[in-house]
Amino acid sequence: MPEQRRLVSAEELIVRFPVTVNGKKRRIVPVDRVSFEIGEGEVLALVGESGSGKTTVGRTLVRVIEPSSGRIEVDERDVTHIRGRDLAVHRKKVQMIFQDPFGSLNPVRTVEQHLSLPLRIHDQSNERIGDRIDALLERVGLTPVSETRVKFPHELSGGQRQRVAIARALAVNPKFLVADEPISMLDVSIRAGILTLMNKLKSDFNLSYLYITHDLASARYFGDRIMVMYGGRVMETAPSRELLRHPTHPYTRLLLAATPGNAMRELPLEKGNQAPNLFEGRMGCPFADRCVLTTGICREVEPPVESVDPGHSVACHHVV
Amino acid sequence: MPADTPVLEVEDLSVAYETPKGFLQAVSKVNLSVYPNEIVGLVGESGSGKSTMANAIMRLLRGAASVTSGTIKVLGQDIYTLNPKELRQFRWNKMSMVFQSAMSALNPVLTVEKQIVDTLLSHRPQLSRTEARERAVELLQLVRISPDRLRSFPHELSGGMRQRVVIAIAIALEPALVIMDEPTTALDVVVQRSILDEIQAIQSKSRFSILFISHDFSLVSELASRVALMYAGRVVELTGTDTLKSVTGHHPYSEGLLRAIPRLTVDDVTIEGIPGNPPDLVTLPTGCAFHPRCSYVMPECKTVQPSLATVGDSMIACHLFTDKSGRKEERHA
Repeated sequence: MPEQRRLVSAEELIVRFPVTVNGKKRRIVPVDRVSFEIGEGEVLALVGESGSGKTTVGRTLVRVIEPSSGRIEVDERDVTHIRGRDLAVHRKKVQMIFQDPFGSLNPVRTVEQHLSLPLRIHDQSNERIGDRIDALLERVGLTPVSETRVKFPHELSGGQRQRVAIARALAVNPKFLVADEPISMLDVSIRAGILTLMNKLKSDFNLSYLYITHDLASARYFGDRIMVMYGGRVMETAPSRELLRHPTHPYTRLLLAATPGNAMRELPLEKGNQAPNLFEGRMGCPFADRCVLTTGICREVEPPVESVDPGHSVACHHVV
Repeated sequence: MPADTPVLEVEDLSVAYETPKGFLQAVSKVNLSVYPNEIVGLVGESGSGKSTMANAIMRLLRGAASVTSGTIKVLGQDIYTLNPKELRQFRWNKMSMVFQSAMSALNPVLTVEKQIVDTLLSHRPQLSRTEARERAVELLQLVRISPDRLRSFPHELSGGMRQRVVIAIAIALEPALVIMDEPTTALDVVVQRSILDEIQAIQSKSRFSILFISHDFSLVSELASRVALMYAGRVVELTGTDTLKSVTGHHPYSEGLLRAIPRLTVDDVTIEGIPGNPPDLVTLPTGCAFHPRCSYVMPECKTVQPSLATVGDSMIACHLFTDKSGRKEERHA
């Protein structure tokens, strides 16, 4: 656990969505009793495949989604079910960067308009908005500022657009950023620039991040700690280096072995590759259908999250 | 490099698109060969011309795009001299392609069985329906899908299974060359891994050649034996994948890409991006297209287009390696 002051905490977070299957109404649980903490100036990398619930966790922290149960605290305030004015105050502290910089910017607004909107809404003082915009653009490396200000999204490259999105998130001086796959749609040569920018902002402003990604290599680069999710549950959490050196959960090991450029080639570590069951009332470990270590208990009893080392916890019945 | 005659021989290929802003040179004077039983990676960012290359090889260029120079030979046959009927027979029999989006490559209203059997029957009319069905079962087993999935429609399959079906259809007629254009990009890493392992297993068993197109350096270097790296429509480096373990001794763009990727295995996790942005193909920089982003830029880079030259075991298009000032030794050491 971080020694820094705790900024974000999620306790036993549950999100349920209604779905209709063959005409019947059922509920799925994309986030199922997820707990974690993020310290001030700390980056928690949340790694998982599609359908693991990682994006839903991020959206719940920004409170785009209201959790069905559990508790979220940000900066010592309970934000689990806040509404209206309180929510506006919350959004000033917590901002989000989306995956698709082509979709998250308005095509008919200039860069300047994108940045002045959050400044007006959250700061209200109309003076010096111009200076603030210049400072933000400089901060994210979009220079010369005077040229960038008047550009429309289509005149920018993918990397530049993502920088605008980051500047917009920074406009309200947040303490915490949820970055949902911010580099996965960018070209390889551009990705490193965005990652290093986010890293620099972290140290300059003591920002905290929830960095959502499917890529263990970038999670290891940017994350202080890594949390691995599967089927809505947390499988393993550990400091980044520790997780890559001593991956303990069978799913983490599988994920690591599958990542290009890894040292261990010990596949197959899975049987079958069906998607996890997310329906309410499922039993046992969500990874049981794919796991090579599965025994009877895995299908009946959900494994508790247990600590194997300081700061390293795993949810698996078969971890020695 | 294998001494046999190549399966694919691309010579001096240029492809241009006609746009309202003028001619856009998507591929410029590319030379590339793929030998029998070889996997060659073609790596580049968006707009580097890698998919245009694939479409040119399959003779799938449409509308505003056209081949402006060069030849493409598959098994010694210049595919641009085939008439439409011959081309239809040649495609899929001798060369096939796996597209990135499996959902749009498959017909949503036909079962998997129908799509495989139709492919087989249209190219091998002598087959009976039963034989074609048996072959369909075989093909699905080859890509590790249970044959009871034959009756499924594409939407009933997961993304990974759909891509497996597309691969099964691509290898149905045992072509000599399969072009794979980002076949695993839309998939989760674990599924990606297992599909790549299957591709490798099938390839080493059935012995065909693959041109594997991807933006992911580390993925290609695990799969291919040689890699061609494209930038702004040109091949800037052609090298064996084993050289990619080291970041030095490469074209500055390759070096930049290698430095930009966080690595899983080394302790040092510093990464550096390549400054600037991928170029606009309509208004390409003069000289070497990479020079505005290159940290080793020299005066001649701004005016003279470097051509591919042999450097060690690689081919590199960069003035640094042909420079007479002696910096070459310094960089290649």
